Amino acid sequence: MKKWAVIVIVVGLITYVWISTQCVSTGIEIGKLKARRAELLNINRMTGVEISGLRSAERVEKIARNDLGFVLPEKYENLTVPEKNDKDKSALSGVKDWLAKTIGYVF
Amino acid sequence: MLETPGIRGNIYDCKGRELAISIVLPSVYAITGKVKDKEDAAEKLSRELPETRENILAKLNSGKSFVWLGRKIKDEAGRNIKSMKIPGITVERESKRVYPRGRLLAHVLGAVSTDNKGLEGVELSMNDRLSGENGRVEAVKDAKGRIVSSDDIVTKPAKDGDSIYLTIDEMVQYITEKELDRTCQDFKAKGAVAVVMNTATGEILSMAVRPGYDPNDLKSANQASMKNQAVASAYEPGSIFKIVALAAGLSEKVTNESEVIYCENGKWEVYKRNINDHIKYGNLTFRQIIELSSNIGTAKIGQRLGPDRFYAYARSFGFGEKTGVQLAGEVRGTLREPANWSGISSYIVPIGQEIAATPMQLICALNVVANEGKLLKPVLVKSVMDCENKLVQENTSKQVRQVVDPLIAKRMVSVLKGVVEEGTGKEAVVEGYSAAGKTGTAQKFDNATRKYSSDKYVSSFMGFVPADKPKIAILVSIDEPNKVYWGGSVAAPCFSRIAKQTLRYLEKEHYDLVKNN
Repeated sequence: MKKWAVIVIVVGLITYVWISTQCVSTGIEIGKLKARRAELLNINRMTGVEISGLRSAERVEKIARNDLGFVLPEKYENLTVPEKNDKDKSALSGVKDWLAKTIGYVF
Repeated sequence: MLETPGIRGNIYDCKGRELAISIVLPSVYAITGKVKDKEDAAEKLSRELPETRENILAKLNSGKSFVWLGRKIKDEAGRNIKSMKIPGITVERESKRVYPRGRLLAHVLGAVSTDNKGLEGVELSMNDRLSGENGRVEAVKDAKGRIVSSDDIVTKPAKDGDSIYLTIDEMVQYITEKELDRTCQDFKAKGAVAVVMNTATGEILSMAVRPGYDPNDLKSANQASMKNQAVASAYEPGSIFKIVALAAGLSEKVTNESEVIYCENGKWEVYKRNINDHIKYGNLTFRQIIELSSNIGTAKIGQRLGPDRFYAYARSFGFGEKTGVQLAGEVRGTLREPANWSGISSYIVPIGQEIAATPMQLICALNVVANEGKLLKPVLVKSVMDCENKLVQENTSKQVRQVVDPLIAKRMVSVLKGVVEEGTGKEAVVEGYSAAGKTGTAQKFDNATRKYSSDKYVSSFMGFVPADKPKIAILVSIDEPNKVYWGGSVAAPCFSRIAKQTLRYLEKEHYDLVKNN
């Protein structure tokens, strides 16, 4: 009987120590993960700064003008294209003809 | 007990684009008494810190028990120093303010000190909202000094600062600064200010000041260039102030647009002082007096109104009082009470002398004309959101008072349209739109000689577009331009370019909004 009591106590103690050790190591792990989370949030913020800099109007205009050759239109230029339905078929074909004659563009 | 930092809130433009962000970076300090081998420590640290070995050694030997060796250094340098495990040297993380757009909007945003306290601009005026609160955590460490996180007891939670959304639109700001830089370059000007305002709401869409500075690099910025001249500096506005004489003259019925007034052939002596026009005008209608900016004609209207009535209108337009824009350091300018006016004041205050106004006051006054006679309080901070993105404050347009009758405002618009179509502001024409405005060329007062300078001017133009259904009001003021100094030649073309590009951008935004809905 005594023998069993000693075994139960020893097993109980071992279990208690094991659980405590697990708690501490899990706590350390959580601490590390929290620090990692803070680090990743900071990296996220710094990436945000970088993205923000890359999106700046000055940079975009420079690339558009110098690398892509974009220019600002001097005036608004509108071309009204008739709707594509049966009634307007003749008008649409008129526009097509006009484009073909003036700029040589064929649909 | 550990201190957890509360991060300073961000600042965004009206479309949510980041203008000021806080990031966390390592800082290094020494408890000098605990540093055993100071020479060795200085040698090792100098490889990672932007300081020489001698400087670091001098700090360690300064006799102070605590010294900062490097603040907000690169992440990698912080990690390397931590891994060196030098006794007495500690690496801590601190929040650092970053302005991703650099010089853009610097005078509105302002800057913060090393301790993250606002020094200028919105950073200062909204410091209480932006500042986070540090929290405290009681934590258990194991034998190796590692934090056992499950046992944390938060005694005071850290609170991040609120975020601010401005009415500024980054694109309009960019257009304004680009064109202001171009004008400063073309005329080798000493400084410049430009403000763009939404006429219907009083929201400020852009505010640019030159010379500029980079808030990321305060060491190379001088104190004078950090001052926001749009609100913190008042100057004699000159002829752009004639809009008050126009409003008062029409409202008080002392004149009308078609009354003919003799302009003394360009020179009129009053109280032993000459009032001059740049061209020798004879008879002009009142409309022509404003269109051609005759000082003598305007002075005669001022004299008819008398000090009390003119002063009442100037006050009603907002001169002599702060506009209430949410920026630090705003001044009220100078508008003396009639009891302190001299005999000549009734003649020269209406032409913009003996009075000092800020560019912000001037654009608010112009907005009265564009906005059917209502004076609106300018809005710069659109909303404030807390760290959980909940709205805590929203600022909408507020009418301060009705300054003139809407019909008088309409008549004023017609006269100011004439300034652009027939008068001194022809170079302010905006292709495809009708514009209205007023030019100004003010001689600067020389404090040394106590006289008006003959070669130093402030050239201005303020106007709104489209004239009949105004969307934006713009003020451009160029300090000491060279070669040419007329407001109509220096500031008006800049106004035109800003207006054209801004309207194109706003119409595109409106089109996208309608399309998406």
